[in-house]
Amino acid sequence: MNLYDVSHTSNNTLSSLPILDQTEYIDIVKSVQIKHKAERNLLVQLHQRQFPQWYFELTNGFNLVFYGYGSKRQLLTLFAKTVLKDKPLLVVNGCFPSVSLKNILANILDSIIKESHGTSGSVEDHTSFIFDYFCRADRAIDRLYILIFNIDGVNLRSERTQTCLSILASNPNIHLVASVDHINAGLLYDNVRASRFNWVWHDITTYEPYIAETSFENSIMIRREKALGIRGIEHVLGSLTENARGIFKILCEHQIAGISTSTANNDGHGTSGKNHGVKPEDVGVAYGVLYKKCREAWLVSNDLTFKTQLTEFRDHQIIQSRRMADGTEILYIPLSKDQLINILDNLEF
Amino acid sequence: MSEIQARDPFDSITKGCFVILPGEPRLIDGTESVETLKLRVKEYERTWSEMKNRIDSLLANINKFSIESIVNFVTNAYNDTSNFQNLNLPYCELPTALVFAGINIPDHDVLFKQVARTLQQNGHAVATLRSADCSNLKNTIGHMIEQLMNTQKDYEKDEDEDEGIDERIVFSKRAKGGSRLPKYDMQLLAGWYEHMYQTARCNDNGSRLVVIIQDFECFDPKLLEDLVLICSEYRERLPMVFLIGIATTIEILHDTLPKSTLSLLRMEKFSLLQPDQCFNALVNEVIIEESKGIKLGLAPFKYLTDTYLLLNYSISSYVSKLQYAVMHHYYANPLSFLSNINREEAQARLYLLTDEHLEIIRMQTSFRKFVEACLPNYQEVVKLLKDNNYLRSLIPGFIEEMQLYQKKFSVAFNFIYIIQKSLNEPSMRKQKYYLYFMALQETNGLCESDYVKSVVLHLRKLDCMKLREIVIACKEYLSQRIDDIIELTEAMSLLENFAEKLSSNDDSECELEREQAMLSIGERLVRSRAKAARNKTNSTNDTKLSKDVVGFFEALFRDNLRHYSSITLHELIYYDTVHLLKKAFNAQPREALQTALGQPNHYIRCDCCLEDQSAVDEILSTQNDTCILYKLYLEFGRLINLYDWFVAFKHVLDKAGPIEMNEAQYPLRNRYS
Repeated sequence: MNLYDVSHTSNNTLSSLPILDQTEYIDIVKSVQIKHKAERNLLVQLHQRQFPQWYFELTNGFNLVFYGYGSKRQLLTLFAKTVLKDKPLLVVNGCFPSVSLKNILANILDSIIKESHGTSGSVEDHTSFIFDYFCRADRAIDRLYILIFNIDGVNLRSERTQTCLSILASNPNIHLVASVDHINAGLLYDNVRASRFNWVWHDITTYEPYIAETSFENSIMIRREKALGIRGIEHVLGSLTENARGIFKILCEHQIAGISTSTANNDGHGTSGKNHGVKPEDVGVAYGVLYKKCREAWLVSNDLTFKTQLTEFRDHQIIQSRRMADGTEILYIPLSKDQLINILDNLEF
Repeated sequence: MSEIQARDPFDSITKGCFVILPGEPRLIDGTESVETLKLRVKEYERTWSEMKNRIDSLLANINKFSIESIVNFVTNAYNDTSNFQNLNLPYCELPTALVFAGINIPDHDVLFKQVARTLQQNGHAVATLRSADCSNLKNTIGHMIEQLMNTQKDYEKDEDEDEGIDERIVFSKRAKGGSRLPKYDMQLLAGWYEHMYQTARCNDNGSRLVVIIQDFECFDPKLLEDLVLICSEYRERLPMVFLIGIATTIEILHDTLPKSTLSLLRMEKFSLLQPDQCFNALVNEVIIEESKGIKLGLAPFKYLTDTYLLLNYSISSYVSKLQYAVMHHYYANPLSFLSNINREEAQARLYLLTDEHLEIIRMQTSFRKFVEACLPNYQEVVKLLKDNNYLRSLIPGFIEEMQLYQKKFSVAFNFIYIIQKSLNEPSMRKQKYYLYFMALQETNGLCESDYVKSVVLHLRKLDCMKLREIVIACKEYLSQRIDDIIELTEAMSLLENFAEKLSSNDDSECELEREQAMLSIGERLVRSRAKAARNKTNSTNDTKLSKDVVGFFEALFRDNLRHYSSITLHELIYYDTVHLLKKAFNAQPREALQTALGQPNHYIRCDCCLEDQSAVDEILSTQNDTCILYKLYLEFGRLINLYDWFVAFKHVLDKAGPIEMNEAQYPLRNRYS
């Protein structure tokens, strides 16, 4: 890429291209002929020949990580189904938007180990419980395979998750198979973690389209009715100023607190046990209150700037509003509590 | 959106994790005979477990001394101050051992476990604190107390000899459950300790409460300050000893902790696992001296050494790379079931050698060299290449020869090491791994290298005394090995002979001097004249002798320090590929991605996009869509206008035939970064 020249920007915009809707788009994608099908198959076959070698490496205490261009799902699925059949296997979709470490550990504990353990406790506690379980001599499950597609996925990137995964991987009876796609995936691992993972790297370039991996992303060229997903909101927030993000954060925190308290109240009265009874719009913040809070936090100086920021959020349908009976405007983010927490965790304020 | 394609079973829009429980067991299918396959697996397991055991015991032994000194420190921590107890000093110093464990943190876990185990075996209670578990003071102390009370219990249980055990467990249980003290209260620990030792055993039993702070650098300094302060307050009641693991230098201690805290610690330094020393021992034991198993050739040896010395100083990663090399050797080399065995075993395994195996043997470069050496004898060559049975019968001989070579090599190699150590020449002194590296590097044999030539040259210049020392050192070394290598008996007797002659020379000289000292001046004058005459004959004797000695060494080196590639069928034992190791441990994902997108021909060799080498940058419409997009992306400047990118993409595709604008849009959907 030419990074040093003066860049000449073009005046063309995407809006001059026709917008597709979902069905049209699917029809077209289906009709596109696949290039180099034979060669790609050959490539996959060549990779398949290495299955015994990979298995050999796994049984000798190494963990496998796969890189290279192209979706690795099919090949690794095949590997798991043909070779890793003798022991329980956990498959994790790293690109799945709501996958989390807690989720993974809960699956291991509930569906595989099936032993009573304290349900409470941090992920670290769960991790060490699983680790100890697979060190015990009298365990019911001999060994465990974990297959993680996109261990560099957005939800698994955090320090804590990778540390816990590395602790699991360092157990000689837990075998980890993972794929990475991000070009800088190697930066996830520092010295300590890398040595715990004990990776052996394999290049499996397949040229397969990333269909499953991108199905959670949204295209700009397809018309949508729905509002932005979490990923979209994160993108928008990432491009805004720090103050604007601050406004979002204040609203977000209020809403989370609101949901928790109303859930607690509900539980206390025994009416409903789950928090999906609480709608986001019920726990929104009044316009005036939010403005005051933002002023106190030095995020906006006057009503006008506040309104401008709000408009920005409204345009992207990140913040929505409704009128109460008495005419006050309630602002809210149309997301659930978990999603809000997720966004707060991922964003830097 | 998954309706686009036939879904794979793990693609769901509602679940991120899937659990699959095992079905029927798996079957292995091999292309070679199952017997040899099994043999290779068995050999691999045997070889690696042998190597692993050696490495483990080596690492355990290397630290034995330092660990013992730590244990001594802990045991004696409170003894020497007992004299001052009556004095009631205004300050309380906690005995603290600073343990320098090298910069490679991943190896520390094992190390501190070893320390903790040894301490426990000596009857001390141990708690290991890691920064990850200690976010605040409350849970730090909670953790510490729990571990201290538990370890002791576990240990006592193991010992199973004291009748007070039950009582203790009951007490600790009662203390945990029944008392109203929170579990992070030091009172709890103090009460427990007093109960256990003051009442149960009355007098001081030497048991200490050891707190290991494993990764000092990662701890919150504030937390440590408080911890030290609290513990020093309890010093009167609890014999606490701190063990602080430091990966960097002692300065970090002074930088992080304030004076007030440091003054509460009575520090002593210990160092564990010095990277150089450890690495030298490892290479020496496992790679140079090891006569069984496989050997590393030049490229893998260099790669392993370089990654250790230049990248991470990590013994564990060195070992896992070594393991991978061994694995690969046994996995990929069909002849590997012949390595690591003696002549008899080889004889027994000959029947396993199929014609394919023999063909592979004929394909080895070392075998070709062997055949070429036989070339004048035409009949022999034909027999070698055509007669399978003849070749089969030769193989045990080759194997034996190779093992002999390795033994002799190691002796000669150690001679060089001994000599260069005793030379008074700092520039000649080399570490053992470096010497070995040179030995692998010189394809003509180590004795042809400039280094060994100059070693021999220096040897020539030495006087008899020095030479005698060297000869004796060599003789001693060889006498330890001589049972193993009967072939070197001749060299042994020669060495003995030299040693004798050299020492007799020295003795006569020494006597002379002693005599001289006792004589009067007049007599001395007379004698010195006589001595000068005698010296002349002596010195010619000496030069002749030293010439003989040097000649002996030179011949020994020339015979035994040949390069490994000159040995027939060295491929059985020497692992000589580095490509796979590099790929497995130092992968280049970026390179792979860029090659895949920029030069798809590297991976896909299709007829439609075969391009000339000159036109690599040309964008062909037959290439994968993502490749086209990537190449277009490379052509853009700092900013990319999506519209233009799009149109350019369409333009490329148009070369193959016009397409609809709509159709051109799909790849953007599949963009993934």
